[in-house]
Amino acid sequence: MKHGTRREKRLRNRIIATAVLALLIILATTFAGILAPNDPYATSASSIRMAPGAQYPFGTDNLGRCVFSRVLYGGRTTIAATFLLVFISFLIGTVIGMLCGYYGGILDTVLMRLADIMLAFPQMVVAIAVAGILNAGMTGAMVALGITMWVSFARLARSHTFSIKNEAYIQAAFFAGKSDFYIIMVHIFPNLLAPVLTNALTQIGTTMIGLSGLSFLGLGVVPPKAEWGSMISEGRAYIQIAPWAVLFPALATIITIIIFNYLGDAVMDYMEV
Amino acid sequence: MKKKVLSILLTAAIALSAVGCGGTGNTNTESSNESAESTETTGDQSDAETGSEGADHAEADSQDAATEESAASDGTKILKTAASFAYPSLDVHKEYYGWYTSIYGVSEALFKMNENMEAAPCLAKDATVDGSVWTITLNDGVAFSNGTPLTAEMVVKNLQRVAEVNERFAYLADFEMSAVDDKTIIIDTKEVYPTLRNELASPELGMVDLDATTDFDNDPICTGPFVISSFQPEGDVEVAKNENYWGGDVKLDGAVFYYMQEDDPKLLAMQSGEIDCYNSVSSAALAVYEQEPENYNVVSIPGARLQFYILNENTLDDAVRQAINLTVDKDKIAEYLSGTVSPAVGPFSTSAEYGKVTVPAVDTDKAKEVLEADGYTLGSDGIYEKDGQKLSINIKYYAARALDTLALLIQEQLKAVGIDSVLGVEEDPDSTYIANSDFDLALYCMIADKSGDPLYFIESTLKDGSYYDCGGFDDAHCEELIDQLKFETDTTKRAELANEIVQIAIDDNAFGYVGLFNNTTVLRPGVSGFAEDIPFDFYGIDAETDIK
Repeated sequence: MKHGTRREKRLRNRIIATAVLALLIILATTFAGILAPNDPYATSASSIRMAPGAQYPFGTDNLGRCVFSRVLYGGRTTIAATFLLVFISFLIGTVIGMLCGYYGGILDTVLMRLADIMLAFPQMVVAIAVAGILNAGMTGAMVALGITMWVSFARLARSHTFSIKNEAYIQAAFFAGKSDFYIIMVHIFPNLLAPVLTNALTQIGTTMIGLSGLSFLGLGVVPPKAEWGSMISEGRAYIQIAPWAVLFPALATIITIIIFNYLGDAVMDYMEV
Repeated sequence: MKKKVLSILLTAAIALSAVGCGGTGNTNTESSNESAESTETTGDQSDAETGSEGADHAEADSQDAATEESAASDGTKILKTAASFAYPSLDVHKEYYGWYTSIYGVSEALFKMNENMEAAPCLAKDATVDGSVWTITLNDGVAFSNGTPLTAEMVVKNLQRVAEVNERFAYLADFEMSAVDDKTIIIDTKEVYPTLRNELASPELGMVDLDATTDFDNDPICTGPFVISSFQPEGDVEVAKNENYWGGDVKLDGAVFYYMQEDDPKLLAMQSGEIDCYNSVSSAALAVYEQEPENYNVVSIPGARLQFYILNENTLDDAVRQAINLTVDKDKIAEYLSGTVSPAVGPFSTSAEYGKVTVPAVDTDKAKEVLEADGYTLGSDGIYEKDGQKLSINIKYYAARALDTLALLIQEQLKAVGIDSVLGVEEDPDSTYIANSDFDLALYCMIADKSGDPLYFIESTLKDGSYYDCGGFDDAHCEELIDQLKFETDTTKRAELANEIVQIAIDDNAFGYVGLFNNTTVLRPGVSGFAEDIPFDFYGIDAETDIK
């Protein structure tokens, strides 16, 4: 690493701070089983819609389930699904992008036009339609969002491959008789990893909104599985008498998305410096 | 960079404050609404409203105005209410449109179901039967809103039209109907037809002036206490007092039916004073109303809408079905649905003569015994298994009529004894799991007692090959009894038959009858007569409906 300017240092601190927060969230949801004070699925007729208190820190919902435990478990669902989806889109998108950028020609034209078509539809509208047709719970929702998500990775990877391809060291490797696969994996991929990974980080926030949104509409998780979006949707009818059943999952969503978005932005700024 | 942070924080702040305002705004509105209400009704709480903010004052003012407007400041009484459905047509005889013309107070049938589930006289005074021949006498002075008297001949024409345009009433075409004089109709049903009087109370059999009506879809001329003044297909409907009403004076000057499909808008409209009453109150809204009994008059009576589940006999063996029925705890479920549902025993209200059946009490230990006797063993994960196969059933439901809550609770109760389950939600049960029997346990909700008689429900769920007999229930003795029930004229005997038939289905563990919806109506104090004491969905305003 080059000797850091002041700005660089500040940015680095910022990234570390947010990364710690993000890590905390991930840890809290990963160890939901240990942290949750109650069974997130146990209903109880005697404690319907109880206000937040010692036994139920975030109160209980319409079926007497502990909102705090459900927020923790729900976070696990949301965050795990988001990471998995972003990772898969990242993989597919990057591979397609590199192939298009490296070989060009008809393959490039066909795949990139397909990407253009994907981009022409608003992501959420496509997702709602696809998730509605698939009707297969969280997997369906992930496929629905993934259909359009790979495009941004593919375009990014393609444009970077384009510029890298014309570098002298690629020519050298080519004349040294290295295979295409070797050149792509060893010379191109590591060089475009940074910008594409940054893109992946910034995608986390939007993906989370997308997945929660689909669950809110009843197109995501299958009940009784806890998920933030579906919790908000379930609690909505009772917002006047039990606002906590909506407030806490909503807060959890907002905070998580802000942290991940901010982390993505900070990393992006850092890369630009 | 700074800008970015700032903008993110701002967004968060806006989002949070929006959430916060939403909450407090609501409660303030409630309290100011309360004060507006109480000043209006009691007149002695003038200082109720002090501490709210400026914005809320404005809100409260507009509400004051709204409440005054509806409360007869200029002497006219217009009732405002919400309707959960809105149809494209007002043609009384087609589809279920007649239910709504009946709710609007526009159409009337020969008889009207009363609070005791009996067909009471309405347009007709009486119906007597001798063998298969029914003699129906019309009430005196019955006339359409245009002044034309309703004749026996017109009644026959109406019934013939329904038979033609509504396939659910096609059987009327088989009857021989004739008008003896202006007031008497003879209907020969050929075979003994004991339930005709109740059938004639169906809202689809409302009387329309077929000669004078030119536009059946938008402006039918009927006999009811109200006439249509504005009709928006699948939208809002306005009615005005029928000045020529044959039954005497109509208390209201008119009514507006706003089309509101969902529960939340109805609750908010009720709180803000936009509507005066509505029925089918959800359990969430009920909890809100019950916090302020001084502002809302909630009337809840046992209704006829049944939540039940069908067990698939082709996929579940006897032991599993028995275990499920021994496990599902209806009383517990009703507790969660706080006040909107009463636990059911059979499909009909236990107060009815034909509702006397018995179900085994919930006994989870016995459920386990039954499973174990059938060769199931409890796995390490607490789920029963047989031949290496986990006992997991497929529960299908649709997310209305609280069936989503039922599905969750049933799943949990089953899990507690060791039966695993997977939930599957469909938007339209009729075209999916009911049609293709793709379920182990299917939840459904329908009106079990449509006309104060058990035959309809029994025929549509228990008769072999009937629409809702999609779980494979088939019993020869039961078929015989259903055939007998069809032609039995004696009410006591009918009840006995019905009880016997339903008991067979219960003993066979073919169905589980979970809950009967209460007909819950909320009314602003002073509003009365919104069919709140009648356990049927198809009545609304009538001549006696009033705002004080």
